[in-house]
Amino acid sequence: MPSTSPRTGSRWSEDEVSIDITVRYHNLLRRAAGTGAQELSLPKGSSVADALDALAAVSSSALVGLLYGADGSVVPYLVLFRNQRLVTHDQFGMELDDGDELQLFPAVSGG
Amino acid sequence: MFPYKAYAGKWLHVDLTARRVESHPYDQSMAEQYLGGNGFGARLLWEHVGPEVDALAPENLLVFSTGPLCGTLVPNPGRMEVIAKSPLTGIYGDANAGGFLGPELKFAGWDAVVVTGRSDGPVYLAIRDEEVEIRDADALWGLTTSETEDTIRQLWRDTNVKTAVIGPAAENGVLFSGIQITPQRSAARCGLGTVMGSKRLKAVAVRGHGPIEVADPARFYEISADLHRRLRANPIFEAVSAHGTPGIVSMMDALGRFPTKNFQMGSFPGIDSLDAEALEARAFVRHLACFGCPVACDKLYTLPDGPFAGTSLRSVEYETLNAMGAAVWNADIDTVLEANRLCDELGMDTISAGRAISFGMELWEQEILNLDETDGLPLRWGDRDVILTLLERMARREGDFATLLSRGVRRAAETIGRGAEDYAMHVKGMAIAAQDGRAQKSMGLAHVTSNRGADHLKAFPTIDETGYPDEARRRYGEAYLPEMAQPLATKHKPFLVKDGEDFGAVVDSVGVCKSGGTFVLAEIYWEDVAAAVEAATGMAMSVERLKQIGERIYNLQRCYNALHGITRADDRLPRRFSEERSPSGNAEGETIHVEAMLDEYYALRGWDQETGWPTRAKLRELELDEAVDALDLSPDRQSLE
Repeated sequence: MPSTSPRTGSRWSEDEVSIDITVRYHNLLRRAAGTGAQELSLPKGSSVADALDALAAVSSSALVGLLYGADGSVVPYLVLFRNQRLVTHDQFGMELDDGDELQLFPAVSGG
Repeated sequence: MFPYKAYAGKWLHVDLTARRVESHPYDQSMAEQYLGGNGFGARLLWEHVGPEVDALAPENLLVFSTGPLCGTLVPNPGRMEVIAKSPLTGIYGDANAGGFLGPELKFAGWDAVVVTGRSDGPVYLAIRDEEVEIRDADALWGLTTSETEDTIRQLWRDTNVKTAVIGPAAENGVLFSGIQITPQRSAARCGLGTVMGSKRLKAVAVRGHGPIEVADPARFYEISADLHRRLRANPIFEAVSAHGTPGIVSMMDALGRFPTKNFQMGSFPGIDSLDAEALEARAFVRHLACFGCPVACDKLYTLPDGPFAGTSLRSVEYETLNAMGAAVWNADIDTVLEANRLCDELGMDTISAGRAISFGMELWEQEILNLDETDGLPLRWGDRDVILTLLERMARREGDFATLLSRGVRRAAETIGRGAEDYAMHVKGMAIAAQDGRAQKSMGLAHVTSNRGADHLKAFPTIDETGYPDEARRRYGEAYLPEMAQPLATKHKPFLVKDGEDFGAVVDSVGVCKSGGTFVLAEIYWEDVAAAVEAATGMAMSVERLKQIGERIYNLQRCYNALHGITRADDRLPRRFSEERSPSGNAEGETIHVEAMLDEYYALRGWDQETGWPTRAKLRELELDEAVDALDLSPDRQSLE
């Protein structure tokens, strides 16, 4: 079954070479997602930004509201780790590998 | 006549040796130069408690101090400071707590209570508005903190009495004893509960009914309402409010910043059992808040079943989830909550107590200790019985080993020797909190420049914790990006730390919270505090003047420490941080070397590069001429030059 990203409009088929990643949610994102983690299949060559788009396509409006602002861009207070490494928003074009884990947080600080 | 509003306008001196209480007018120049709170206490300590005074001698001061914004309409104005020379570190000491006592003290008509001397027997201080009595406390001595608070409420037949109480740990001389502030908040660090215990002062109980008047009510209301609105509109507000400080556990773990096995690692494999979601699922009952706080980061937790069924407590913080969890390799959240409850009831700082245990466990792992030296306890990582038994024994000072740990990791390591010093994770005698500087370079610097020994809360560099640039941009501008928002970058961080220390000194002196908008959320900054202070007090206040006050307070504390022998040589992290690469998370492969940052920091501060002491020019600029004289006359000055 083809999967669609409403944000990019791109379509892809599972016949294409795909990668599987895990997305883990924390804090308010977990509440909105209703789960701590989910698996996601993406076309090979997908980026972090593509992964967020794909998530938005299959997520509740509550979660989408925590990922994207009204202008359609990723909210600046989304903190994202790829395989335990902090990924800044200007690096969201980086290509993902099969088996990657993304962790998503709101930017809470303190101590 | 004290000219400023928002203050009660007077403070209370309690001489326990003479069993005498005296009211003193608040000094105008004190308010103008130090504001109140932290600044008030630091100044009194500077004037009255010299290097010759032992921290547990009657001559040490114990200062409970509020600020001009405490108890007012600004967001989270429930904070008060406790200041004394620290018996744990031997240098300047302070601790801060939220809750309700600070506002209550001002409602009773007092800005501060200054305790000197030592009572012959246990006493407590009863303050009902203008009526102040020193009362016998034989019946309270030995009680836990909640038993003490409950007993006083019953005696007073008043459930609204607010208290500061110590537990058995402080009575027994545990050097990291804290003071519990209504309701279950802790002025935990520096061993100030131990100072209170040395004075035989079991509690301070306060009931007040008076108003706090402000100079310009309309403007002050407008400013306060705007701050409340801005806090609630902050995009991170809901996340902070939802979980409080436990909400950062999982992210700090991902950053490799969550000390595990006594800082051997920065991430914990069992983190899913200790994070905010695990805590919420296991024990959450309801949200709670300190006085006037819209964030409500506090929560009530109760264990529904299991070996500690019924354990109920509030103020379960990020630090305790680390100290009694990952740091001791414990993934059982029930044990963390029970350890937290024990520390609260017995009156111990959870950070220092936890670090004492993880220090002991690492010595056991390294085979530096054997069963004979641990009073028969095999200090296995994560062993619930060991954790809880050691807490009980430390508080009661039962057995040689627990008694040794009850003196803090620095002293314990010095006594044990045989390389134990390498595993004592402290700066200047203060155990390092759950803030690994390898994962956030500004935090590493903050630990060594903090005036109370290792500490995250003096500079509180939240700006670069998460890589979220908006707070850095809002506070410092585009020119400081991207490094200012990057946890692993060192560029700009000396400035971040200095600015945080000066601003923090002001925040702690006006009586508001660092977790409710000033540092966490980074919404309230210099111009907001200046405007609020001016409208509340009627004191002309500019950002420049406020910055000078913050700088003055911080420099005076540094001068105090200089007189106690502190120099640049003491501004250093334990060996582990510079020699052992972090194996964890975003910090994998990282070490931290503070020297270059320290050079820049001293230059920004106007401190001498060799000694780390404030220069004469800087002190004169801050109108601290008396500090110039004192440092010039100190024996250390001669040897340093």
